[in-house]
Amino acid sequence: MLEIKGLIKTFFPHTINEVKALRDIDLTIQEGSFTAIIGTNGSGKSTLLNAIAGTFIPDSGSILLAGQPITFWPEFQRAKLIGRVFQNPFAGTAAEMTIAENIVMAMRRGLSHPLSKAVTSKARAEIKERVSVLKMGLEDRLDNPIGTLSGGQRQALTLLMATWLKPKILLLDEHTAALDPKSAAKVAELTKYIVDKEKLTAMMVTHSMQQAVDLPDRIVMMHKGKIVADYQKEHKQRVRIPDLLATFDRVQKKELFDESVATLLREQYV
Amino acid sequence: MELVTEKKGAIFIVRAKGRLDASWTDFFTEAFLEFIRQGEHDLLIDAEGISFLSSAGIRSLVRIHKDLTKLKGRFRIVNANEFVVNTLQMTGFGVWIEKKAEADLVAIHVADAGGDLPADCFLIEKNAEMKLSIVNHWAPWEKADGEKLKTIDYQSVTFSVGVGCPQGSDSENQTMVGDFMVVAGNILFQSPEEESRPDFLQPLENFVPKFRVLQAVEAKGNISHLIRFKPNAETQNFSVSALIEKCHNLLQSDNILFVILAESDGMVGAQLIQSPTFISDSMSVEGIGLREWLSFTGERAFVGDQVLAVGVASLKPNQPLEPLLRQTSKDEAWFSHIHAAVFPYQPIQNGLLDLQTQLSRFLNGPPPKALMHLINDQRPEAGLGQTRFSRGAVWCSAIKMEETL
Amino acid sequence: MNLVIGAFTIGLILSLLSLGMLISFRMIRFTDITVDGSLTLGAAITAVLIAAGWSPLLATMVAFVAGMLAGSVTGLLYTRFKIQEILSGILVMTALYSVNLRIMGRSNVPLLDTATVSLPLQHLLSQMTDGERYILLFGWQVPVVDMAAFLSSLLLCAVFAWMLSRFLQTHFGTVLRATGNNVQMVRAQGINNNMMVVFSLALSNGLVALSGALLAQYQGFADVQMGIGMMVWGLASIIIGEALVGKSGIGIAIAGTIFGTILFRLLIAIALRWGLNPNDLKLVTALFVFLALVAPRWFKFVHVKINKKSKHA
Ligand SMILES: Nc1ncnc2c1ncn2[C@@H]1O[C@H](COP(=O)(O)OP(=O)(O)OP(=O)(O)O)[C@@H](O)[C@H]1O
Ligand SMILES: [Mg+2]
Repeated sequence: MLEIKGLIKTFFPHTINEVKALRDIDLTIQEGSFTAIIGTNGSGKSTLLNAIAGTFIPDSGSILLAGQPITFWPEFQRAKLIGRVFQNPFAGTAAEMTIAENIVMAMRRGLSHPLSKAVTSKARAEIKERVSVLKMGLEDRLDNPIGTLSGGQRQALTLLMATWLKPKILLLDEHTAALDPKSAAKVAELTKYIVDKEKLTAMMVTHSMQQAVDLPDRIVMMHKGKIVADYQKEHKQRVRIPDLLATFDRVQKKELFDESVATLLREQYV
Repeated sequence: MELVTEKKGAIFIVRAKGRLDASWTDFFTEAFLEFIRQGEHDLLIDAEGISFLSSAGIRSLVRIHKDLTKLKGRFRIVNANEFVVNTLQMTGFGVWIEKKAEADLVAIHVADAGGDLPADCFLIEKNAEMKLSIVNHWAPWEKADGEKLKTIDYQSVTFSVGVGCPQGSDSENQTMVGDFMVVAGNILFQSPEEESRPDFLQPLENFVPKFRVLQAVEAKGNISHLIRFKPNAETQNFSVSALIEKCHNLLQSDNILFVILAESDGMVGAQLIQSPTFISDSMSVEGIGLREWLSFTGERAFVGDQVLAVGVASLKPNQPLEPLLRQTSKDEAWFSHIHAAVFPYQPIQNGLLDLQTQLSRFLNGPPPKALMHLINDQRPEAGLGQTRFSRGAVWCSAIKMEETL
Repeated sequence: MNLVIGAFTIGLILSLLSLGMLISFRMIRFTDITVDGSLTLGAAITAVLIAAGWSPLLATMVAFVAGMLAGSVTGLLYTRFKIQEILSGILVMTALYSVNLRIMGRSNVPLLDTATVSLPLQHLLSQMTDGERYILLFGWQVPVVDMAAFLSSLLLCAVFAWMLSRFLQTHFGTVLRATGNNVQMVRAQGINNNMMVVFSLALSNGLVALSGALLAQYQGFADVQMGIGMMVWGLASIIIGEALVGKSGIGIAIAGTIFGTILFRLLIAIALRWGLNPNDLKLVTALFVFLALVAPRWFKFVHVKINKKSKHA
């Protein structure tokens, strides 16, 4: 479904601020799989998702999504294939516009936006029906500006909007991180429900080990722009939070292992 | 709930004030487990201020009592008001209640020091000593093919440190050589893969564990002494070399075998993550390339966990022992080779301890988290120093050097 | 009464300017300075074309298209060449000054006794009143010419307001509004936000130029200076409208803008009547906008201060 090969992205190249955000990423995501991406701050998780979504063009490497070479497609063109939910609950919706207007846009994600009435009664009925799945009572508030909703409600709506038209891949970037624990749990549960029901292919960046273990069927761990661990299938089933923490720990230990440690251990280890 | 503590000899008195009910039991239990962890195993609760005791409160008392019993400690309640006394008696825990007068009369309990030994030292077997041998020799980072491995049977009198692998039927298993340690015939080993957890082989009934070793220092014999240590006004924690020094003072021997069972205050060590049998002719392990072979704790790790360590220490090691020992700390004269296994914390009782009992307790409890070769990190500035312990026990024995060694 | 009718007529004509600016300033949140130039552009083109004998209606339509072109240039400077939005506007506005002079050939084109878009209505009114030159309205004598101008502005304004409100509720219009609200979201919905900006600026400046075209016909001349300060005018009108009726909902925002423009025009007419020096008009307008922008914040500040004080007390 998604095939990433040799992806490299360096921000501010050849300056003191140079950041090698992605160093040669190879990743293949199977159709219908749900992958969690975990890793330390600044490890390049968001950058990877942004590369897929087309926020920037990579320095080298290729991205193939649903058989289409999208490496150089502009962001808006890829939206046809991609549904996104951001960490910031304010990022995914237009605050001053109503719930209905926001959803109407999502109903035509990647399609043309004709000069016909947007919020028709037919659209309204459909919106009502699908919004009621959230069980948040939002179906009765379709004409309220989205800005009047709580972060959790907005994030749930954004998720619904991102999946309204089945995307080839759903990209979730810490989409529960800015929510209070209860809303976060609710949105996580909703994510699992929608991904399962619509049989979506999804990638989710998260800092919650619990989520990484509970929701998806694959865990990819990143560090310093590289994939350092990849738990799939039966390996994923065996993985528990302590294993993930241990892997984090190992990766970091390896980093602390510098020349001075090498010299020390050469003398001391017998 | 308010807890005020006071120490009278070996007795640790806790004056509790308030309601011991569901909303306070977590706090209460945690406070008491911490007292126990700090080595207070003779607890006396002054319950004068406890105005109410619910079933949740009783559950908490039961939990504390259970932990103390395991450690051969004492748990008593004095001065309880009528309500608390009745509640305890009706629920069948009346035995905990003690009359105040009696409690006051409890003689100050002095550890049974046994002869002219210093406090906290115990004689286990007079004149017991160990015989040392180098079972197999490998110096890092020589090429090491599988043929060099020697198969050893381990009996309960054997203590050892080295690198080797368990004897399995598959050939893959045979070459996975990693760090291992043997404590009284129990083998603890770590497969040299980053993701594997330490494992162990325990001698049971007629099962004598076999192990294939590439390199091992081995001591056979019995333990002669036990030393208990805990933090006091001057010392917060004890370095490995300080513990060796304690053994030396007791044993008056320049060559010592020791087993430490103690709460870690920071481990510094390294561990094989790739079997040395994979070293090939064409490659040499050089410079930073070492990190493909060894992992290093990188910080003072596993603080608060319970560590089982075994080691050989010598003041003046000579051939062929010398190449297998390293300076224990920068300023002291000791040379040693120590391996340690890290277990999740479990309290250990005060006073005299039996090594076998403790071993089977830890090996049958939650599995070990890590196994490592202890390193004295003496890098300038970045150096982490040596491994330190806060409280625990050291069993030791003098090593008798044989001429033929 | 003539004064009132005049103020109303100019207010209605300038409503188109305000509506255009409603799109750029409020819908896509683009501080567009092109306005000053495109208003004159509309006026200049109409004046020259009418003077050359074109039909007023056709001339007005050409002005509208020219305004759209000017807006697109600003949009392209901003989106394609990544020039800051204010600077893009300034560049086009400055360039338009010369363009306008070129079009007119001099700094002022009078339109004396030429036809205007309100001519058909004027004929109609004349027929209805049997050739009378005045119409009696609430006991006032209003010249038929003025009445026709007023009615045709009203008609045009109503038509455009209605079309605009319908347009903003279409799929396309919804997306346009969202572009100003949350660009990231709009892009995630597969919309080329840059294209939306260019289109919005084109539409906005088209309306502004249209307003200029009508203004020139009503005033009877086009002047290369007539656009100066018009952006602040429009902004003042929008702010008054928002203060009057709020901004919840598209219809309300549009109606508010029209009311605001008319009211502002009336206020100015009254102020001038009371002896305000016309030369000070722009200063007063600027001051007014300044106050309207800072007053809400200032009130909040004072409010907080008072609250704090009362808490301490
Ligand atoms: N647009 C950008 N311009 C410059 N540097 C960037 C940009 N985006 C990311 N980076 C840098 O690239 C590195 C990777 O960032 P990224 O946001 O992908 O990390 P992350 O794994 O998502 O971290 P977090 O868990 O904090 O979200 C960081 O050092 C970051 O500063
Ligand atoms: Mg991120």
